[in-house]
Amino acid sequence: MRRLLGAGGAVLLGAAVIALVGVGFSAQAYSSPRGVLKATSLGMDTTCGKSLPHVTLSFATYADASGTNDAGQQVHPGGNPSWPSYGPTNVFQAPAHACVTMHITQYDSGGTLNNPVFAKVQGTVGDTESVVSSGKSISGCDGTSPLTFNGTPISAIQPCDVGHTFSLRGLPGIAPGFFVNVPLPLAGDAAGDNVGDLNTDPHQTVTFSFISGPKGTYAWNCEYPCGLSVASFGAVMGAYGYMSGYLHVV
Amino acid sequence: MSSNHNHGIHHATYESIDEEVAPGLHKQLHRQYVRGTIYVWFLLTVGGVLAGIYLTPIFMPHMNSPEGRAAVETVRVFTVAAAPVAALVCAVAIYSLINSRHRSHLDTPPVDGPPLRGNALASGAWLVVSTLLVVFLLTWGLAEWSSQQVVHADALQVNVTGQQWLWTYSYPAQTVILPGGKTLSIPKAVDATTLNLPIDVPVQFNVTSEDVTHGFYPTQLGIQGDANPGVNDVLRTTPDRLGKFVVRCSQICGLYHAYMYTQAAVVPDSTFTAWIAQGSAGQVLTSAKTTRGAR
Repeated sequence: MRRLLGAGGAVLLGAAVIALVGVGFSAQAYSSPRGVLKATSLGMDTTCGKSLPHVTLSFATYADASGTNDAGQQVHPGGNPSWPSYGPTNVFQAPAHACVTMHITQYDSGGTLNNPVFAKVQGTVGDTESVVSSGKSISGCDGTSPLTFNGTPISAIQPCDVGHTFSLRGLPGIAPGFFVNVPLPLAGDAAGDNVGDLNTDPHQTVTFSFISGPKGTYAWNCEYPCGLSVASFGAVMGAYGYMSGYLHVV
Repeated sequence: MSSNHNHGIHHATYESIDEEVAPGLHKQLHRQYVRGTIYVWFLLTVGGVLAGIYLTPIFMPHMNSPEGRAAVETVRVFTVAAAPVAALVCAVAIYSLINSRHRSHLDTPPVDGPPLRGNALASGAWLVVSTLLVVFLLTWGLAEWSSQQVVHADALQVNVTGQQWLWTYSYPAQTVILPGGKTLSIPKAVDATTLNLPIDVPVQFNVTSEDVTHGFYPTQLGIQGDANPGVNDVLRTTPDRLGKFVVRCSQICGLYHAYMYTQAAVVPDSTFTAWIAQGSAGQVLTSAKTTRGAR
């Protein structure tokens, strides 16, 4: 009897240890060493077409993870130098069933999407975004008109004028029909190592709103391949924390 | 032949070595451990067969196509066919674990059993049964596979593109033949991030990838195929039940492989027609309201 109890106890203890390790990995997987950026409340309004709690989130895409943002803080402490990165963090938090307005400041250059579908705005209010250009502009990839925006809502950009994208979807079992895709136009020539006063660097400020889904964790990633190796989806694209992250809807 | 007992373990001695290693079948069947194993085998076989027949449909997902239901039926048949084999292995293990367990610290290790010699009857029976079982499984699989190779010239064409880490769909310009003879004209390509299919219309998926290998797996359509860059992998099915499902990636493809899934649905003709019409202005289509139910 004692041996039986001992064997059973050992099995239970081992299972508990494995479960705790799994919980630890899970908690770590949805987190970021740079912390969680929580949405700021703006009260109730009809920005998203009906009366909803309205919140806002502001973050940016930087050309160099080892550089600093306009507050002088390092974008990605310990990050791989020369890799682009979202910042100040890659994990965000917003309330459920709320109108979420995001402001993304895009400082990086870019290129052509593998799949032109991601050059179109999807899932936002009116399926549009507004972009305001600042600083020195360059010509668009069609070689004629400058890549300059004045805040007028647009539904798509040229697939060859993409700096990054913000593509957001629910995890399996959470709002499977939820999908938001926002292309971020590339910035001008001076987009570089984001050191110093970034307000003088060319950048594109992209604003869009969407209605958040039910409570749960949503995953986002960039669909413009700016890495190395196969189809440019290696290196920075395959490493968590730079071009991918989570949105916790609470 | 005499026997002596050692804490319940019987050791028989024999008049000759031949009698020891190759007793007649009659004597074998009357050995306690053989009878016990057969009893356990029979009970487990009955349980396995019943589980295969009645429990398999409960745990398998609701399928929206004949190919999907054929896959469920195949799982059921293979479970029943495998039940006696699995039961035999389990019966030998269970009986040995119970009957030959170490009961107390006074137990001495058992002496070696008699040396094993070949038994033509046992070897032959095992070979014949195994061959028949494999031939049956092969025939069943080939028959099911060949029945799914029918090509419909008027199938709805859907171009599927996998890239890290989302599926996108494109309905190229075509004329779709709907049930009842109606037609739906898609004048120019329509892009979508969800997959909607009209009920009872043959579909042909043209699957490819923009980067690495992905696995196109619409879970409840009963089909699955690789998405390889530069290659067009053709898959065919005819959804015949309304309902929602998801499309997953079945080939590990990188960081967010587990999140590479999209909403899908089999919808009535009218819903599909209205949904496709929204894409005529170049808008990328997302999910539409569907009606869930079985025919």
